[in-house]
Amino acid sequence: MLDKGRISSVQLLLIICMLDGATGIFFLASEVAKIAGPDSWISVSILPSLYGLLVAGVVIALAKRFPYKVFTEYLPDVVGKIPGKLLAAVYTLSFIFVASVILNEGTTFINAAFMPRTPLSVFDVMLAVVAIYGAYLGIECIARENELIFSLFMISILLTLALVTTDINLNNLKPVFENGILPAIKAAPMICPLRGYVFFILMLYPYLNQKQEAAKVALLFLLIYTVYPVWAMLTIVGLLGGQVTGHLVFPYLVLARYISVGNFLDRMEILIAVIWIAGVFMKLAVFYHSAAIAAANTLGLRSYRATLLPIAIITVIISRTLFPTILKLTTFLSQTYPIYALIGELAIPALILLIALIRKRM
Amino acid sequence: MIALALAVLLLLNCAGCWDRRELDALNVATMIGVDRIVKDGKPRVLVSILSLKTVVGGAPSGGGSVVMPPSLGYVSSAEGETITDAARNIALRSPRLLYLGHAQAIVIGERMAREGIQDVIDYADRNKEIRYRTEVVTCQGSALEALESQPEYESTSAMELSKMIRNDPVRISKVVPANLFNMIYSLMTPGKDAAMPRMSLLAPPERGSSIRKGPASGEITLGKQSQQDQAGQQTGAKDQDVNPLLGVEEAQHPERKTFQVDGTAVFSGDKLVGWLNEKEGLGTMFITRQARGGEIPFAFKSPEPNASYTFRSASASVKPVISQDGITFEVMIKGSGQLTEDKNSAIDLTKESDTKAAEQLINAEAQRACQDAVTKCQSLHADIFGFGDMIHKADPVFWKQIGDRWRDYFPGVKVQVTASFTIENTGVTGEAIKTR
Repeated sequence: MLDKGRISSVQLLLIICMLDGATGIFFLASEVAKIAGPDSWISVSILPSLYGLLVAGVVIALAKRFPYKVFTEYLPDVVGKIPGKLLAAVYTLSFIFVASVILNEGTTFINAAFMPRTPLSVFDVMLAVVAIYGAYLGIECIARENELIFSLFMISILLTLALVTTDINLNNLKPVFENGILPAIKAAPMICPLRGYVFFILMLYPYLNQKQEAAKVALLFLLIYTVYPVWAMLTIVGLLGGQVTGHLVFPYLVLARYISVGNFLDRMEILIAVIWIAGVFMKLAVFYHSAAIAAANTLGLRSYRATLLPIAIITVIISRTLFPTILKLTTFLSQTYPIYALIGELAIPALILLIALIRKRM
Repeated sequence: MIALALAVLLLLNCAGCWDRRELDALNVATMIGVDRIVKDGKPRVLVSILSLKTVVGGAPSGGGSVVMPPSLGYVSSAEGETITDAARNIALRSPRLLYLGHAQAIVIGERMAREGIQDVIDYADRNKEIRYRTEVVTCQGSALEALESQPEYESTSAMELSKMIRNDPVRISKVVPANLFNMIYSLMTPGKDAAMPRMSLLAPPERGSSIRKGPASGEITLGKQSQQDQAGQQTGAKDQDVNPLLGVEEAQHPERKTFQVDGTAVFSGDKLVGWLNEKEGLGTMFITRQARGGEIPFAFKSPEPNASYTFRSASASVKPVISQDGITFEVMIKGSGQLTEDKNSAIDLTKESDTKAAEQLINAEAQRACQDAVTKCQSLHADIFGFGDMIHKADPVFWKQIGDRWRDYFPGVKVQVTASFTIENTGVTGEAIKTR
């Protein structure tokens, strides 16, 4: 265990909540609505949460076997030295890759929605530097920071959703299951990776001070994130209708811009910037931290901090080359990413758990 | 060391924002007009911008009171091959950056509307500054002229127009309001056509109108006090011309125009196909549940309207009934209000029978308004009520059969309107004045 920090179960819960909540609703609401239309709220609720439950089961069973080691640390113990290191390397690269996706999401949104003239690299570097500093200070610092930021984040989200309630037209949610239940199911996999972030229990379990509460954290997280996205989706589609939601790139931004209460409370989209910067920053910090730990485990380093700077530089560079346009990014998030996530969040941990179980028997 | 590096890095942010736009370098648009014109045989787009004149520099010295610039709004226009091109071309004649974030209305010229508004709405939708609550109106004639007309009560035409449209459902419910979001929704949703208010120009007939006697185009007087100040300070011949204190007669400009919102533009697809008058507008507002207050004049035992009913609330429910012999929409309108006019005390409200009879007449008028609106829209093949959308939502399977042909189907649809308005009181008087 390279990081000596300790986090409480509430902090763990908030971190996972932040990982799920930060970017999903912004980039995927439109993609989900394109497929599921008025049934979008069904897509984002039960199925992803069931997937999340599956991941949580695997992850917690695995974490309990190695309570004092990080996932990438005990991989060589389970599957042998060389394959273990290789897998750890794969995870390192995945974390770096996802971190660059997040970085890309973050800056693309700010650029498209608020500041079109500022070069993207400026945002990239600024966000990366702050997040890297968080990761440098350790998980304890990230968790505490997150406690503060998550409250701001949640207040902003609740405020934006609550303020448009009067403009919602429930007729927009009809017809239910126009083309059968299939579209609603088809759209669900895009949301699955978000629920699958419960995987991060594997990377954070050793720091948890009350280890018996991990399962409770996972369940609570899944419960919260079965209700909240449904509410958000009902609000977005109820306000804009399935057609318009699918047509917009950032329906949530439009929702915030549409707020007008009593002719004086309007132009609230700055709340979106708050939500956005806060979410992306926290998410990046967690991913950087995990990537650095995984890299240090792979390379057998004694401190994870040395790897932080190279990781940051790599993410800043590749984030732009991977997805030059916003449409490529949303296509990737909705079509390719679910498959990656399925492998990384569920398949490999399940395999490791299986091998660990068998080896224990032997 | 790292802390120091970070501190320096953070310091960089304090220099300001890359995308900063200073107020004195902005051309703040309050209303956008879009026209289609033909120049040298080629179709071109003319974009007109009614801008707010922003104050540059500090308050003028001397006098003690701040003298506002004489003009609060001015129109500038530019043409181009596309709407964005034309809007950008305003830079050819203006040093300031066009800022559309405060645009309160988009005015579409009649010709543009007839040829299709899809690109106007798309432009406004894509533009990240224009907001979804911006009102959209069609004007008779060119949008440029509409923008040049003068506001009567507010400081800018945009403010006046948007307030008029926003107040309409509460006060009279005769014009169907539409903001940018409604337009996008109507264009994108199958089985729903767009409608928006019609703006038309009007030369005020009143001699005392502020439009006729006011200072030159775009200039708004700022109240008596400042005029007196100006008159006291400056004694130029020009000022005397426009000074209303010197007599109304000297500054009459009967050619100056203001605007009114007096009807509804009906679109089939994205093309303007016709207009609704005020009564048809009222009917549409009833059916689409937008009406919240207004007048229903009616004739009580008389050939001509001799009484008036003001409704203070109205609600409607629409139910599509699909049967063998076609589609019928059952529209139920409910409302309550008061009797506000009663010529020669024709209605005796102390009598139950008279009240009932009056209510029936009111209901008949409301039903007629609705039927007129439906008949007109059916003749235009424009389903501005969203009847098709209702079928889609109520019976998606049936909609799949007829959805593609809805515009052909719509004229054959039956609409049954039942209104039930109740008279709750009679204002502050009982019986009407009797002339003896």
